Amino acid sequence: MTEDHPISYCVTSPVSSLLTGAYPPGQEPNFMSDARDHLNERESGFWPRTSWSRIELLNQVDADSDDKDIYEDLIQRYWPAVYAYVRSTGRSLDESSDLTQGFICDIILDRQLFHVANRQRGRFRSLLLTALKNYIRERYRYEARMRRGGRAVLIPLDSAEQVTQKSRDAKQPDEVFHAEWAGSLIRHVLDMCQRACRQDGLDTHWEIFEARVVRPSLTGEAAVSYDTLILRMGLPDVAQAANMMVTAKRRFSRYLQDEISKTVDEPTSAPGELSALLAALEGRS
Amino acid sequence: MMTDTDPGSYSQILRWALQDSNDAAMASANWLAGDIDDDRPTVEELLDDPEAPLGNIEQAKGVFKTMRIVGETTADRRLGARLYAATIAAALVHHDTRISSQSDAAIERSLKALAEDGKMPSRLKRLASEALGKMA
Repeated sequence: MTEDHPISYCVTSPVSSLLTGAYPPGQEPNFMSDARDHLNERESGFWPRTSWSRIELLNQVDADSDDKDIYEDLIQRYWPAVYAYVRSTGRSLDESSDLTQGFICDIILDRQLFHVANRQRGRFRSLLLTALKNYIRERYRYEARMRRGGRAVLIPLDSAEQVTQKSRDAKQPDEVFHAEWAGSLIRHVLDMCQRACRQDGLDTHWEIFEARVVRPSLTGEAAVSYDTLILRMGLPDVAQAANMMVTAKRRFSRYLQDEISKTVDEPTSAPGELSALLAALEGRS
Repeated sequence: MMTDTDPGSYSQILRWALQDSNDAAMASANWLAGDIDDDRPTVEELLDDPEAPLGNIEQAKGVFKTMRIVGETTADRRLGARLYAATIAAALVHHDTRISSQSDAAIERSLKALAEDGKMPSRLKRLASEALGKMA
């Protein structure tokens, strides 16, 4: 694996790839396949997708034979935020992969983070971040104990300075976590919205939204002009196309609100969580 | 480079949901305005700015005319009708140009309805009153 981690592929690749969340063949991160192996070893369990209602269901139902797919789905959703946080603490690529894998296997799978979680604890985003920080702290203490048992290691000053410099240049780990969380959420909702539009015969609405809004917002590429779009899609005029774009954008916004409401204790808390996530992304929290 | 994540673009996308949850019809209208003119991302900024190009006002007229017909909800269609009148007012007030072929009576009716609509932003209501003054 090169220094260009698949996360950057996910973020900068064409929207079609963003939407599927797929990795190029052979570029899946190692810890993903390790986690999958780990799942294969598991015999039972029920993994909630993302919402508190699913998490509550977890404590009500018996083992489900489809748990492996659900686990994989969830890991696909959340590992980017976990990995991004770990990496932004200044750890190397290998260390970060290792810690992410450890968190997924030890905390999410073995200690069944979602089984112990409950709605009263509030925001799912905060819960995941707190669990991750605790895990890293535990690992650090464990490794420190192991080091004290062995011989002392002197850190060359040059290396320490490099690490310090890296920390100064980098964004705060919490900021990176929230950004990656938001990115995963947005990619998931875009995927969901695209599927729903197709299902409802709104393919053209989606294509205009994607060409005018999604791609420019996520990849920075120029929006396709309405003249080009109406010619390509055989639409009567720009006004019609613009309104179709708005219909798709509104759908996307609704799905986003719905998804956010699933990660908080009460659906009415969704605007608060949305504002909190915005504040976190903009460094205001 | 670990990640090219741009929190700025994510913030912008998340704001759509916040705007939509506050006032869905007005959020849609503002998205349409911003789509026409990047520098004036709300209907108030687009229609109540003497510097906004007349071409953009005319484009807005077409867009809100369509919203008046194809809007998803009654609130959307009602707002589309009010904003359609607001574009006519903006062209009259800021560019001294009539961009509608409707009769004076029909234009005055729709401007009056806009000026008296308590749910509309005050800037647009004032614009409608000024346009009515110009037509008198």
